[in-house]
This record gives sequence, C-alpha cells and structure tokens, in this order.
Amino acid sequence: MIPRISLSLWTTLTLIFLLGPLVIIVGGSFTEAPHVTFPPEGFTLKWYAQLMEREDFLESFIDSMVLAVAATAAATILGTIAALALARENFKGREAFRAFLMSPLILPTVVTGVALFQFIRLLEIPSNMLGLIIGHTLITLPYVIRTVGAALVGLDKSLAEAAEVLGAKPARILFQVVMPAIAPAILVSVIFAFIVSFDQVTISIFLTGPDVMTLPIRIYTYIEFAIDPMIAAVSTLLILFAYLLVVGLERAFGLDKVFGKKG
Amino acid sequence: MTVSRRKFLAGAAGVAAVSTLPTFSARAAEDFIIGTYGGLYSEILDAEVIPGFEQANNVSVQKELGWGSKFIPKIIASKANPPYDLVYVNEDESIFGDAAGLWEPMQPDATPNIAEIYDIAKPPALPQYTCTIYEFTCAYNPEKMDAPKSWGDLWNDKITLGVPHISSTYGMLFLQIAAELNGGGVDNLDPGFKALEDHPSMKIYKGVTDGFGKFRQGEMDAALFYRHRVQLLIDEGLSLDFTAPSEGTYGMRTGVRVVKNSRNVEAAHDWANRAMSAAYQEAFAPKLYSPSNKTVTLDAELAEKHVYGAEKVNSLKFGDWSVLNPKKPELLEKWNRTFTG
Amino acid sequence: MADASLVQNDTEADRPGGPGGARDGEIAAAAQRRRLWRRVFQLSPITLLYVVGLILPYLYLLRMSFNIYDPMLVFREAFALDNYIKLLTDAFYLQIVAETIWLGVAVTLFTLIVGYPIAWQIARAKSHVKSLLLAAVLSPLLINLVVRTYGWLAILGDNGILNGWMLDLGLIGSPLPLSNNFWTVVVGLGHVTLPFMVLSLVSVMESLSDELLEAGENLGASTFQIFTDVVWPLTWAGVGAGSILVFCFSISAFVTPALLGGGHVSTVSTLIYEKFTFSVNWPVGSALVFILLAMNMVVIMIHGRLFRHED
Repeated sequence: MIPRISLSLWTTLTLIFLLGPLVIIVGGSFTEAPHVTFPPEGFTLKWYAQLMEREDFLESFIDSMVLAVAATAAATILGTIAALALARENFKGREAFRAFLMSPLILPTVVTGVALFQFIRLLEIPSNMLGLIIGHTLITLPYVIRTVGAALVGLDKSLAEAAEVLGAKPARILFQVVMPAIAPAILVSVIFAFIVSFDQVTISIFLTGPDVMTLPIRIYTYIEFAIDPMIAAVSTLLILFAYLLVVGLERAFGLDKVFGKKG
Repeated sequence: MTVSRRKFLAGAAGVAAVSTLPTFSARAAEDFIIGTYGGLYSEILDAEVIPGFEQANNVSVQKELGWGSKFIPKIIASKANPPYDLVYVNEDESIFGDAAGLWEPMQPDATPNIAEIYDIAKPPALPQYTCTIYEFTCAYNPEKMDAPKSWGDLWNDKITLGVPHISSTYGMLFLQIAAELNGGGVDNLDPGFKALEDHPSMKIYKGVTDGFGKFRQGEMDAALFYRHRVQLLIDEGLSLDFTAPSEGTYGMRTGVRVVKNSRNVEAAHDWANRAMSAAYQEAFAPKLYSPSNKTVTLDAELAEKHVYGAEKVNSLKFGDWSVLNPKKPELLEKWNRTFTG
Repeated sequence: MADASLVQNDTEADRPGGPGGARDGEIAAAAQRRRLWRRVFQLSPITLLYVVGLILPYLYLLRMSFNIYDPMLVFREAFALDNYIKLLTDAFYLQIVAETIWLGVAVTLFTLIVGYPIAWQIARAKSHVKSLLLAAVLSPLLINLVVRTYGWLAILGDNGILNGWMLDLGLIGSPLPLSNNFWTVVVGLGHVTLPFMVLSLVSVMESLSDELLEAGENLGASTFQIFTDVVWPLTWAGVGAGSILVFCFSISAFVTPALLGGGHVSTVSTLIYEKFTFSVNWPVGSALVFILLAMNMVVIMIHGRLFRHED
C-alpha cells in the first residue's frame, strides 16, 4: 500500500513540475498587463485578437507545418527501415554504424545548421526549405531509430519464429507480425519527430531565409525585450494545437490500442 | 486566406524541390534581400520604408530577421554568393566586416545623405551608414542607492550589480569601463576582469530580455543598460532611474552595410541613403530609436527621451573596435575561465 | 522489403563453405550475396542522406579545424594541429568537456528518477487516464524553447514565483538561490527531455504482462524483489533508448545552459556557439566540434555496450 501511495504522490509532484511553466504561459496570455505576469491581472482576449491580425505569424505557422510534416514523414520511413535492418542484420561494425546514425543528435545543431547552409549555398540550391527539410530530417532520425530500435529488442522473437515455421512469407511476417508489434514505437517516433521539428530553434537559425521562416524563429526574432502576452498567446495556441494533434492520433489509431492492450 | 494558400503552395513546392530544383527559385533577379531586426523594427520598415523603396528601385524586398551575429556567419559561409544584399549591423560588426572584407566599399557619392550624419557616425570615424545611435546609461534602483556619481559607485556591497555578458557590444564596453576605473584601459582589460570578479554581489545578464526580467524581479539593483529600454521599464512603473556618471557614458552606432558581391549594389546604396535620411529616422523616433541625422527635429517631450542634439551625441564615448575586435576570442576565453566552470 | 524475416540467423549462414562441399559453398555464397544486397538496399537511402546532409557539409569544418585563426581575416589557410593541441592540453577546456558529460549524465539520471514512476503509472493506467497523462508528459515539448526558458527564469528567480510561495508559507526565511547555477540547467533540461525518457519507458513497459507480475506476487516476492528481478531487467531497453536521447539532447543544447545558467555554466556547445558567432573564431570552434564528436562517440559506444542489443 505504501509504495502505491508514494507512487501517486510522486506522480502528482511530477505533473506539477511538468505543467508549471505551461500554466504560467497560458495564464499570461489572458493578462491585461502589458507583460506576462503570474498570477494574471484581469482577463482579456485582446492579445489573441492582436495575434489574429498578424499574417506573418500565420505564414510562419504554415511554414513550420509543411516542414514538420515533410521531415517527420522522411525520418519515420527512413528511420524505421534502418532500425529494422539494424535489428536483423548482424554485420561487422553494426554498433559503430548505429552510433554513426546518432551523430546528428550529438553534433551541435547550430553548427550543423551553419555547415548545411554553407553546403547548400555552395551547390547554389535556391531553396531554404530544402535545407530545412534535410536538417530537420537528420535531427529527428535518431529519435525514430532509437525508439523503434528499442521496441524491436523487446519484440518477442518466438512469435516471428513460429510464423516462419508455419510457412509464412517474410513480407507477411513483417506486416502482420512485426509491424503491429512495433506500431506503438512508430507512433511515439512520429510524435517525437513532429514535435522536435516543430519547436526546433537551433538548427533553423541559420537555415531559415527570407522565403521561409519557421514559427519558433519568428518568435525568437520577435522577442526584443520581454515575453509579451501576444507571444504567450501564440504559445497557448500551439499547446492547444499539439494537444488536438495527440487527440487526433488517438481517434485515428487509438492510443489506448497503440499504447498497449490494457485499460 | 489567399496569402496562406499561396504560402502553403510555396511550402509544398519546397517539399517537391528535390525533383524540381530549377523551377523553384527563392532569389529571382528582382529580389532585394536584407538582413534586419525583427519585432517592432521590421514592422516600421514594412509600413514606412519598403513600399517607397520598392517602387523607386523596381525590386521586391525580402527580409530575413535576426541580428548581426547571425548575418555575419552566414555571409562568411557564403562569401562568393552572399545570402543578402544589405545587412543591419552594430558598429563592432561593421568594423569587423570591414577588416574581413565582407562589405562593398562605401560610396559617399551614391549616398548623399551622409552629409547630414553626425561626424562621429560616419567615415573616417566609423565605416558605416549609420541610422541609429544608442546610449548605454547607468540604470539604478533609487530605493537601493543614491544616484551613482561615478561608475565606481556601483562597486558597493549593498547592491547587486548587473553585468552584461561579454558576448554583446555593451558587455565589452562595461568590461572596459571596469578596467578604466582600476587603472586599465582598452589595451589592458585585466583590471576590469578583476574588478568584476571581486564585486561582492554581481549577476550576469545575457541580452536585453534577460536584463529586463532581472530588473523586473529585483534581481539587479544597477546595471549598464540601453537608455531607451530603461525608459520602457520606468514607464511601466518600476522603481528605476538612470544617470550619466562623471566618467561619461558609451554609445553604440547601428547602421547598414552593403554586402560584397551583392547583385543589387545600386539599390543597396539607395537603401543606405534612405536609412540615413531624416524621414526614415523620424519614422523610428517615436519608438525611441535615436537619430544619427543632424537635421531630424523632435518635439521637446520626445527629445527628452532620446540621445538627441549635437552636444549630447558628441559627449558619448565609443569603443575602439579596431583594438577590441581582434581581442574577442581571447576575452571570451578569459571571461569563461573567470566566471564559469 | 521482399525479404524481411526478423529471425534470420546470420551468424550461422555467414560461415561460407563448411563441410558440405563445393555445391553447398556456392549456395552459401549466393545467400551471402543476397544478404549483402539486402543490406545495401535497406541502408543506402539513410546513408545517402547522412553523406549529403552531414558528412559533406562537415568536411569543410574538418578542413577549417586545421586552419589558424587570424583576427583580421577570420582564418588563415594552414594545415596545422595547433587548435587541437591547444584545446587538448588546456586544463580549462578539458574541464569543460568533463562538465558537459557530467551535465548530460545528471540530466539523464534526473529524468530517469523522475520519469520512471510516472511511466509505470501510464503503462498501467486505464485508457482515458492514460491519454491525459500522456498529454501532460508531452507538454514540456509543446512550449516554445525561448518562451519556456524565460518561464523558468520567472519561476526560479530570487524573487520568482517559487521563492515567493515558499516565503509566504514560511518554509524559508530568505530566498533560495535557485537560479543561475548548474542545477537550474539540469532542471530546465530535465523538464524538456522528460518526455523522451517517459515515452521510451512506456513503450517497453507496455509489453510487461500482468500475469508476470502476479506470478511474482504469488511466489511471495516482495515489491522490491519484483522490481529488481523482473521489472527493471525487462525495462532495460527502454532505459537505454531514453537515456541516449536525453543525454544527446542535453549536451548539444545551448540556449538553456546559456540562459538558465546565468552566465556561470559553460558547456562545449555554448563555447562552440560563442566561437562561431561572437568571436568568429571558426578554426578553434571547428576543432571543438570534432572534440565534442569524438567524446560523444565514446559515450555512445560505452552506452552501446551497456545496453547491448541482445539477440
């Protein structure tokens, strides 16, 4: 009994820790004061009204969406194939290759941005979006490879073996046995990749250009001297958007199904 | 929602760019690309400057928002095919780029408005088309201390001193002030490090936003700070005031430079000329960007809040960046050794 | 993806020839060729992306790291090891490298300790509670980095919200110095990396069946024993996946250490950023990049040993 109570207490404290900054930002978006205060002073929706008139923020939101969807799709597909191959193939230098695939995460992302920017200019590729997609795919790939890879380790091999003994074709084993088993991990990867891309500041600093400016960079360059309530309003809408995304995923794939059979 | 759809299609085209590279060009011949500041600054440019400029030069202005510390690495990374035609820079960055060969030579003939600029903000004093002059004042909390008569009064064990991080123009200047108070100077900044290290209670702030937060929360009682930003805090009702200590205050000049190998050199010089005009600077004056143009007239109430008039402007001191710039790597290293780890 | 068997036992087939004679050898050779092609087919797209997006761009920086800094020209073409020698023989830089690793480890331990129990709760929760908890766990990632960082400064400042509450409640007599130190950075990074740890754990904990735990209980094992003997070993892969993501995220972050550290915390990443933008010392900055890379490769190899993908 005691472990159970302390577990609940710990979870409650963790939730406060997780949600604290969020509460301040959301509260700050409704304040009447000219800067974010906690607790908020009064209640107003004027910052949202102000935000709605900003076409630049809307454009940046669309840029970020396009980028995040493209990068997430590319990273999920490439990463899942690589994770499957790494789990199955047993070649010399596999661990080194695995470590190599993690490298986008361990190289300073700002420098990756500078290096990629330079390379793209060198090739005279006139699209900053392409550079952003390559950069974002690279930094989200390690999340996919690690998450899917971990699920493959835990995968009950006897299941696939049994299927093979029963004469199932490899493709069938993949799609009917392996894929359903790693589906939760793939969904988690999609969530990670999307969110990491959507909130990416550091790699984007040098890769955004006049033709494309992501929302985090828009916010970064907009803030001159303080987090004003309009920025809090943008953040609040983004939080709402991301929650809707999670709910949408749940409706579409059934998170309870995807995150296990209990419940 | 037409804009958003257009943007969406452009974005989708970006996704497809892998296969259709030649058709998707972000830099058509008529694009004029500037690196400038975000927030309010970019909004005033949109409203007051860009329409007239586009019409006169038959170009489409594309803005990339950021700071000199972002623009300069990007120019260095792509010198032959620079990502901008013109950028906004601080004086130290302008001088740095001059030494590193990042700019087109200045063309006084193409930029006649330079005649109206204060001498301290144009060649030979400074190789730059200056449009704004800032002052770094001594901000202090009057509830915690009397108005400091000298910068040295900030070394006082009753207050917490805000120290700007060295990775900013004014961080370097404050270090120099601290050095000068203790027998050093631009050539010998070590006494400055020692003075900062020995301060009984100091807090490093990193950038204006951080400094704002620390003033609001009462974590700093005094600091070198942008004068027009202190004004914002005072207008907000914070217990804060500012003064010019007897040693004087430093200023900073911000302006534009035309990037070397720009494809629109002529239009870029027109922009530079406009940035130095009285009309341009009067558009920015209500938001407390102080003019570099001698002919700008401000009403008394606004002038009060500005670095304004020949007497005031000429009283400002400026950093010697030809000495300080080459020292940046060494100073940064010494700073990190002193304050971190 | 024609041949996608997960259970192919390569080690057996990798031995060419064998006692079966020439014909068996041919079959084995053909199988090996097929396997080779399969690997090439599966791993070449990702390799291509890494070559184009990472290796080629970084080659320039590798070359740059052998140049010499010149205050006037940014850098002077050279082929010297000076930058590496300088960095690797300087106690200060070695200390920063050590502190960066320590930061990564501290954040990882923090997320593991804070995250493991909540991951367990999520894995065992009923579906609607599970969705709510998952949404809560994801929330730190949803707040913009810059906004989140300033939010923490408002909470943890000397006169911040947390100190204010504790003073009001009489828990403390004077404000605690919660901000501007190493542990502030650990909390800030731990907050945003917690989702990686928790979700990695959840996706592994899901596979633990109730029967297994009940069996343990029926055998009279204590809760502690069930944890150490059953749960912990079976969630080891999740710990591995989560910890590497958290570690890597932490050591390459630069906004959070720079702001929450109050100018008193330097990591290799913040140094690199300053060298590339403020002092424009690209040769030394580049050398630092490759030192960081080498250091992290070592950590990841050790991690790989620790969390070996067992067959």
